[in-house]
Amino acid sequence: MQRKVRIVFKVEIDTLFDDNGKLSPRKTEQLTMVCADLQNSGISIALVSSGAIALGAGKLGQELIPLNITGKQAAAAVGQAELIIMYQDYFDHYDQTLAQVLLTRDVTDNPVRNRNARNTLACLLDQGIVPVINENDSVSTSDIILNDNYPLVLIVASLTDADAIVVNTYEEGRFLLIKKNFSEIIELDAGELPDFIFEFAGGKMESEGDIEGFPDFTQYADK
Amino acid sequence: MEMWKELATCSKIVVKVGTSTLSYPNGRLNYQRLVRLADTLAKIQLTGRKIILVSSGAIAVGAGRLGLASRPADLAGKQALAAIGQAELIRIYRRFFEAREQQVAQVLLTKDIVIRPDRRENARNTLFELLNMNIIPIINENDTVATDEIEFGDNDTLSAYVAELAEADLLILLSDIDGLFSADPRKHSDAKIIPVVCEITKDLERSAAGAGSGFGTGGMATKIEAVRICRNSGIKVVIANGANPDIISNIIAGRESGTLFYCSRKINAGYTDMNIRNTDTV
Repeated sequence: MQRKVRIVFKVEIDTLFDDNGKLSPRKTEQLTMVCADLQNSGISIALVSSGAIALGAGKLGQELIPLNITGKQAAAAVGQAELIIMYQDYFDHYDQTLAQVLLTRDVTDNPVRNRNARNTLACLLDQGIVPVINENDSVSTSDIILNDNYPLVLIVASLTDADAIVVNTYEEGRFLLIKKNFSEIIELDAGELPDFIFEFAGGKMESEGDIEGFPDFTQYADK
Repeated sequence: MEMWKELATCSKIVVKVGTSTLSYPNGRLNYQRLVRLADTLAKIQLTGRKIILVSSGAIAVGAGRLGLASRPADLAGKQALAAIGQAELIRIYRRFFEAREQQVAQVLLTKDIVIRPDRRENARNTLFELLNMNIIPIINENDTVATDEIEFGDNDTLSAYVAELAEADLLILLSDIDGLFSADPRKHSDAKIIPVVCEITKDLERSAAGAGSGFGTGGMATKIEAVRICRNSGIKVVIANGANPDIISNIIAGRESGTLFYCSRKINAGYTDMNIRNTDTV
């Protein structure tokens, strides 16, 4: 079935925060502009975003991110609200609607959860809405323990049958574009993203959406 | 009445607001009412009591954001709307609570908190930690990944499990009905609100479940189910009309304002028997 080209955008703390650990309005503005621009070019985007715990700790006036898991979960519950509100405020400038999707790892091994998440994400992407995805830290601790959202990014890439993943590099404004099946990885500027994404998807505005996508990282699922 | 007066001693309270309380009949949000709700809850929190808010309304808000006249019939469409609307809803709550210097957090739950001990433990820890920090958790069902459309049945049931999980003293269910009536008020002009119910009788369950003999706008069956869950843990439940959110202040001042489902507090109620109907998922 023909559908719009889809990418998963991996947002890390470095993508949003400055070196002092504070949210950087400039970086956030840049990121949301890049995403809204990609949407305008005809590419569907799912954002997998970290940052909830750091934002929550900041909101609670904590100098450092709490060390214990419960403290992190509480910070995440405060910070996830802050994070999604922040994205809305920025995306509103570009008239871009978003949706909040909080997943747990059992989305990979519970068939009903899996199907529902797939359908919901497809429904959002097809309507030009950006799903902003994170782990549901209040009830699940796998990402908190791992301290990275890579497994979630790969799960989302699989759920959305994405054509590529975009990851930021240490150099601001430079991104890694990872093709489906990891068959090709290139580094490029934000402005070059739309052209290369279309090229990765076979040079077409629509993707065939074949089954050979990103692998499910079921070994990360917390049973 | 003595039993109502006891509510003045409640220190941990779960308040559930339904879509009918939060929105106009056209589905758009009733901001004035939300402001008053935030105002009331923030003031109660200042007295040292702990508040948990369970809020519906995400799908209605999502439909409003997309300018839809009616809700989609398919599950994916509804779940997509919930994902859009929940983000919008928490932004609005945060705005109103922040104006009253009250910190909030968002917690989205699934039935896992009832059937999976690890999830239950995580959710419980998160809630207790938030309450310790005087933050009001705003809870909703995580519709996007719910295994079926009516995982909890509705937020009446969810709020009862939350009350149990948080070891609350009181659950307040606000909707567009004034309480439990002695008869169908649409048919009997002399129907009165029953101020206190001490026992869930078969008769009561039957009349609440009956489609034609419902009290008010219906939805009483899920409320009775919420009462049943709460009673297992010795948690009192009040059903009241949320048209004026100040009613919450009256309730916790011990003034009669709807129907109180009374039971005495159990010591160390702890976990209940978890006798929910569909334990086959996950």
